[in-house]
Amino acid sequence: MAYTVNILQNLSPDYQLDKNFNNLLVTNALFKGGSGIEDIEIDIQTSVDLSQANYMYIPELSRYYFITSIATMRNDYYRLIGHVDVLSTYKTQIRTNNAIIRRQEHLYNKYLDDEEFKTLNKSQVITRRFSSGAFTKSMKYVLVTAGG
Amino acid sequence: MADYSLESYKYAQHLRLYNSEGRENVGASTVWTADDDQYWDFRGSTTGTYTFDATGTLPTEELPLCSFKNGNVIKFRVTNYTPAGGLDDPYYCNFAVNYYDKNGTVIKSTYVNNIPFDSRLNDPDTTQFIYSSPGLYYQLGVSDNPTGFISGGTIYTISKHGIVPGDMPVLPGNMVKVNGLNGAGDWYSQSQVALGFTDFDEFMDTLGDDPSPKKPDDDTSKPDEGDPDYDPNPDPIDFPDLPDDGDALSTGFIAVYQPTSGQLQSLAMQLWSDDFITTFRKAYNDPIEAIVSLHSIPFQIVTGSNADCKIGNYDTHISMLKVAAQYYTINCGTIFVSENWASALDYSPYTQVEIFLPFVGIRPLNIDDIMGMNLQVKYNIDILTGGGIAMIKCADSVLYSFPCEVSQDIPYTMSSKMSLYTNVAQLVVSGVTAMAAPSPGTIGAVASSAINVASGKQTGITRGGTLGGNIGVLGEFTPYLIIHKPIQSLAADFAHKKGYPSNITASLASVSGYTEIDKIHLENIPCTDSERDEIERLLKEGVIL
Repeated sequence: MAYTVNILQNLSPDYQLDKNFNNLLVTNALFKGGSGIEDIEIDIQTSVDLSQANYMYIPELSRYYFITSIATMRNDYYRLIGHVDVLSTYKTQIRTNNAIIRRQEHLYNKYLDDEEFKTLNKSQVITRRFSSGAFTKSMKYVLVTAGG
Repeated sequence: MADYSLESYKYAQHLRLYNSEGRENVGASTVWTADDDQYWDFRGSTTGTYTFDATGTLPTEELPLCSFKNGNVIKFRVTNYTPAGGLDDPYYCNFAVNYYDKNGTVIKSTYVNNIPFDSRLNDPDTTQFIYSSPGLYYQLGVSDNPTGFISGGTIYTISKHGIVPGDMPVLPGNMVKVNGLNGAGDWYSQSQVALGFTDFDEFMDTLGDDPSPKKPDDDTSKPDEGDPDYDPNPDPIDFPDLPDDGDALSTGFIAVYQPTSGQLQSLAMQLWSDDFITTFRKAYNDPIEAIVSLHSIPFQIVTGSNADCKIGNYDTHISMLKVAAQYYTINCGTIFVSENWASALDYSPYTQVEIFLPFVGIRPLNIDDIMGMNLQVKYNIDILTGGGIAMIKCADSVLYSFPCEVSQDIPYTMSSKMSLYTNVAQLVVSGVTAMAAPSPGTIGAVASSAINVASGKQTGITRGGTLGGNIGVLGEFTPYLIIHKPIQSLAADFAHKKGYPSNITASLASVSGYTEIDKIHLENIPCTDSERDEIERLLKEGVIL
């Protein structure tokens, strides 16, 4: 069975939901028998340079895939092995969920202790004087006697 | 050039600076307050079609409007500023803010140039914000910069106290060159303010990039409610009152005088006169028994009228001031302990604090007890014995009390001299004992890098033993804090790479940037089970939303 496949160049980190990519090629692909939906093997025929290809989208499966391997079968025939990118594929649905967030770039509470804190192996020593010194070096004698 | 007055203002504005990541420090809660005898000097000018220049200093009542937080948050009010071309014109301005100590020496400086005014300035009754974009600019090789310049590798600032070299410790090599600004010289951009450091990299290492905790409206994280009947409001424990009855002075058994040194010399001559000894031997084995004590006190004593000094039933006919009160309260003032990082670094085990108390010595305090609070130190003292108690009130309650001996014994017989030496020897022994003991602040090893560093610093050092009486008078008479603060090493772009602790429940649609999930129940995702597992795993490992 032939599927349409968009061969892409992903420019973003793998763990980013909204990825930036360049379109390299739209072509038909032939699935290898026994391929699962999460890990696929497809054969394509193209004369386009695939050295920059690392990502693909298959509309019929509504899934993005990381290209994990490109093997040259013969002239202009390639076998691509891909693994589904669940973050980009389901980014809209993921964002509908609530979660307890452990670490966040903008939403945080720095009064929580953080094992990632790094400090230099030296410290600042700051002295702060109280606002008034009520004691005086001008001492006063006190004589206590019996009687009186 | 138009002068503006700080006494009154027509269009109030705030200036906010961006941190290293270009984000505004929204909601910084800690307002920096100058200590006594310190003040801000504000100088400013604009470039382009309008220039204003500030002279004079901010009045005292304006100080709370100024805040400085860890070098990356500076807010101050620009007063009476009226752009010449109208409030809607896109003006740019330069600012220089110098922070002086009481001697007029610049101890901190910051320079903010080319700040585009927000276009919302057309509402003078509303607090407006000026956003620094992209940040700060420092001019290189131009000597007529009104706020500062670099010449021959030395950085100079211009303030009302003259040209001060070296106050702007910024190395151009660490900055991004911005060409063509104002057509004069080369400008360099750096979105953080360098203050108080001589090495730029060292300064950068110490910065926290955004001290303000941020929580969204839908934040549901909060402490456990606990017992609904529990009253969370503490009962204030104020300084105790002095005894108002039953003092020794009113018993008639003793008399207390405040003699001068000359009066004491006269008394000493009488003590060894034949007349005195003859009189006393009728009543006492040793006439010196009628002198209860002689010591000196390091504060003003409340005295009454003069009276002839009597020792037992013997009238010396030496007129001395009689002491009118036995108990005294000595107020040593207050100090506000402010956060530096606005984070857990301001608290234990990272930050530690000790206090020096006159006649007590150096004692450890729990930084968690005092951070963000006013500390007040008072002594209650009994001048009859010289004994007292030093108390520290943190906010509304006295949390620390230390016994002390504030008088200096003066030997007047051989026996009293020997007693004095014995007391001093005991103090020395107690000091040695204290030095051998581990510091109360010592903590165990904890498995996090900064905590390990913090705990590693706990070497059980004791900075002093007991400072009582005769030894204490040789020491400092004003209490002070010794604060040991960590120096944070914060990698550039840390928040984007690792994020900060959150523990906030939120919709993933409401957050952006680097995110690690602690717990999520994935719903409404039409995926396979293995895909669902992978989504959850990736969210927990960290993703960019």
